[in-house]
Amino acid sequence: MKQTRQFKTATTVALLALGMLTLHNVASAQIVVPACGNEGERPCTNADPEYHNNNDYGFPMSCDFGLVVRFGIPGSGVPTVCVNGSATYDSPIVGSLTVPPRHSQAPDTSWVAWAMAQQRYGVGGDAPMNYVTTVGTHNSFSSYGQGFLSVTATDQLYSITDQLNLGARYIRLDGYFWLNEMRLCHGSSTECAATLVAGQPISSGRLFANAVKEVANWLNAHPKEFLVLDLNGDPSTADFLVMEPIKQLIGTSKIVTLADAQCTGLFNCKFPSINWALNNGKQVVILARNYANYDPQLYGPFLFPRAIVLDEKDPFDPTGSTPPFPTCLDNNFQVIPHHQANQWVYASEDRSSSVSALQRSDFIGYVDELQVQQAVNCGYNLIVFDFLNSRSLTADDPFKATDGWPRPVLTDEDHRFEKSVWSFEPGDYGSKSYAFMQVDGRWSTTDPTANLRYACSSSSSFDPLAGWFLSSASGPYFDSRGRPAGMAACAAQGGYFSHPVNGSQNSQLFTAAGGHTSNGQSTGGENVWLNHVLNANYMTFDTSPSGLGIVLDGTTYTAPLTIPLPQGSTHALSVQNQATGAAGTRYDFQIWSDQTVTSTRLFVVPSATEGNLTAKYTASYLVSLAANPPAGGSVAVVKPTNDGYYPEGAQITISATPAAGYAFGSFSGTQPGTINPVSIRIGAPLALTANFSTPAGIFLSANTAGTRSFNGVVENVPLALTNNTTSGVGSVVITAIDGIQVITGTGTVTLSSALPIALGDLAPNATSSPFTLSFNWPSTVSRVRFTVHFTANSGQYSSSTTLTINR
Amino acid sequence: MLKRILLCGLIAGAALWAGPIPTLVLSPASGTISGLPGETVGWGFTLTDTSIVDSVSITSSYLINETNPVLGAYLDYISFAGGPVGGVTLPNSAWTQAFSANADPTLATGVGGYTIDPGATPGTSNTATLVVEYELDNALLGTFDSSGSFTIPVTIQVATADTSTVPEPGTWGLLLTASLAGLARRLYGRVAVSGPLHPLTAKEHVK
Repeated sequence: MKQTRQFKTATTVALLALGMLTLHNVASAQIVVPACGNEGERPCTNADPEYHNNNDYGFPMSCDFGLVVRFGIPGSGVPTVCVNGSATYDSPIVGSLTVPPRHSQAPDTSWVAWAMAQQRYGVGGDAPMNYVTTVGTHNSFSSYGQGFLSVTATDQLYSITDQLNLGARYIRLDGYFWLNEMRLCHGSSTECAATLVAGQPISSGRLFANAVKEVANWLNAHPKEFLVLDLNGDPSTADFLVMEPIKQLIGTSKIVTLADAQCTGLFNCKFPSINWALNNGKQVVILARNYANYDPQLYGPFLFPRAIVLDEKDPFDPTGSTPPFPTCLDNNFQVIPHHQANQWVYASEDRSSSVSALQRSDFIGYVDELQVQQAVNCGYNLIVFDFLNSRSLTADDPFKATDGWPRPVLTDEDHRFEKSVWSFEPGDYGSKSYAFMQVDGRWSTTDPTANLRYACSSSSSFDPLAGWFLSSASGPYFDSRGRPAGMAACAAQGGYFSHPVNGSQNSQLFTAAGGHTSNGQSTGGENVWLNHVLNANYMTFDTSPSGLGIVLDGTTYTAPLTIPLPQGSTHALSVQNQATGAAGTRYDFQIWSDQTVTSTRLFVVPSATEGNLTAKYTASYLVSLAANPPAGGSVAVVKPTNDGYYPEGAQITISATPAAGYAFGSFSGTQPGTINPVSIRIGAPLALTANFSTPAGIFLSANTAGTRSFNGVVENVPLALTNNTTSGVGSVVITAIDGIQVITGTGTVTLSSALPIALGDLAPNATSSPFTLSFNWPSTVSRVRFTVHFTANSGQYSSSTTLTINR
Repeated sequence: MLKRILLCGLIAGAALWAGPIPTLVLSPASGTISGLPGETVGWGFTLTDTSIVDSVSITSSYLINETNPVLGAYLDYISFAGGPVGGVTLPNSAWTQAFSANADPTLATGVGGYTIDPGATPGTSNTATLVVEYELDNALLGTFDSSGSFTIPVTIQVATADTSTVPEPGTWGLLLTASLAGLARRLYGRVAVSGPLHPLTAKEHVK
């Protein structure tokens, strides 16, 4: 590893060396989860082995993160493990309490869990992650179950793992360098060391790295979840001891970087969406504060040290500096959404420190359910609670018990996570997929054919400061081309068909729809289409080649078509068996990409967020052939198809056959050449002209061909044409007789026969059948000379013969 | 009556017998003539009709297969007359004409005249085939028997000023050639010879 940083102390360097050595082996270590700290288990103490069993390492053993070896007893089942090494924290297990089971509202098994996941990964999944409200736990590490037994300072009852399983997606880990280790405690040596009640320190002394590993384990077990990790550091501590465990245990590839957020400076970032992060293997974004030794070069890529706007407990404290709800101003009197563009606005419960440590006689700082709703609707991004799921306002505070130990209350339920759901109404699982806002501002789903107006935003990118309005037009969810109809309806008014991604935006849309809230009841709005399809599989239907027609549920589209369809829904889908492409191109359906062989079929949308289905065609191309001149011969494909189309890649043979009197010259057109027959591989429409020509040297002559007869006026003269060449000639025609000249005798001779006279084809060296020319030939004339003009090969050849004949 | 029947039988028999093919011998017999640019040169001939039935009437003459057609122009003479008597050469007779040029082909003699282009280059030549068309008519009945043609290789050369002509064979030479040709016909049948180096071919047009 290339070192680029000067470490402050020799101790740090030594820790680094040790850490590198042992971290190298972490991946191969067997994970041992101690039987403490989790639901139903006793609280952990600092004597419990942490989450590593280093038996794999051999001897001499070396435990990572400052743990020390505690040798087991051979044959007894007691393993050799790494435990916290400081004697200061080697306290015995206190009492016999167990971490209570979660209440029935545990969101991982309820509608709350579904709704929170829908808001986080569905509704808000494609919005910048800091626009989405994330709920979590305040001082997550300060867990009774994990050994933080202080009456005054403990914030949570359950372990970090349990908090995550309960639905917390914000986890806060405070590291402080104490007794030669980076430990979990709240920011000062006093809090790390203080023994305030019954000899219990505020901090359990748990090693920071082990909490990181707990988070890492949970992330590994939940690869589709995304967390916000908040590091409240120790200003006096090298951040190396914070970041190295995170890098090694969580893995840098799972961390959103400043580059991912396109940060220009520490305050100006454009956070990516949660879905983008998950699709890129990233499961955590790390927000940080108080890191005086923050080194952008080493850790800059993974820490966002200036991304949180802190309101802490002020929004929930009537005595705090923040104006009380429903005024949505932060403690700097900024409108909450103002920060959302590039920051996270943080509001936390903080009951443990609301009053002096030993006098927890009030609930100042306690966050109740209504306040959760108000914070959500104001647009706070990070809302975090103490004692998640362990008790409510109406229950007795176990810390008020005279013995000073927490006694979880099971008779009441914690509904605060449920109240963070601002979208779907309770019990609605979005079964009809197409989302709309109801008259009370909550969401539901209906059939896409419903006739509603559309939710429009002035922003195309979920801008928190964007305005919301309803389209003037109403209609079904899809237009005739399969696109969300709201796109055009909103665009007509300068907006974008959209949907809220947090409670603040939802409140604005509700107001735009005419809704209002009074006495905790919301009403007066309007059913409005939202640009959101639940469980949508963004199916792309295409054709190969693309651009052909696709009929989906009776509507014709031009491929490719990308359309959100509910997973598991069934649709009628068809394409043409035969489609026409560019001139001379035809496409014949072959098969769908899912191997369905019929062009008309039903389609069940797969359970995925996106998919594609392609109708595959084979191209056929028209082969157009012509002869030039037409009488010059014929040209044809040797094995022709009925319609003149040939499949792409087919090898065809084209043969030109000259007519009598012609010879093949060349092919012209798309594939010119002189080879005949020619073999061509079809890859495009083919237009080919076979050019024929009259061979040189053709020679026809006229001859007398029979006995002439005279009736006193007309002399009938039988003639014939002879083909004197070795090539056949076609279409021989007597075209004219001229030059009639009396050689012997007196008088005038004229032609009385009609012309032209067609003689047909003449084989090589053949003489035509006789034809008779009639002349008006006076008896006073005995010898006449005239010229016979004739053509052949459709006029390609012409010549004449002058004959002189006697009567 | 008997006499008429005998005559008709004789005619019919003669008609059924295709009869000897006439011969045409050029003068000069080699077919090669020469002249100066602008000069008209040509060929004399002897046409021999050895048939006892058919007369021969020349109907046309022309050049084909010219190797240098721009050298000059051919003008048919022989078909104007067609024959020495009434446009025909009677059976068992011959027709001989020496070449004599004339702008009026009816006044010229010989097979035809070839006028060398005035711009022709001395030393150049044109080789061609001279075609002389004829028809055979039954001399007794006046009916058409067949038509045919003589095809004879010829050469026209452009001479320099001091070699304007090729000396023609003398009359006795011609007669000797004709006699030899007749002898050859009798010895070898239907093919006559136009000269010692260039066999003359006659083609009968089959109806």
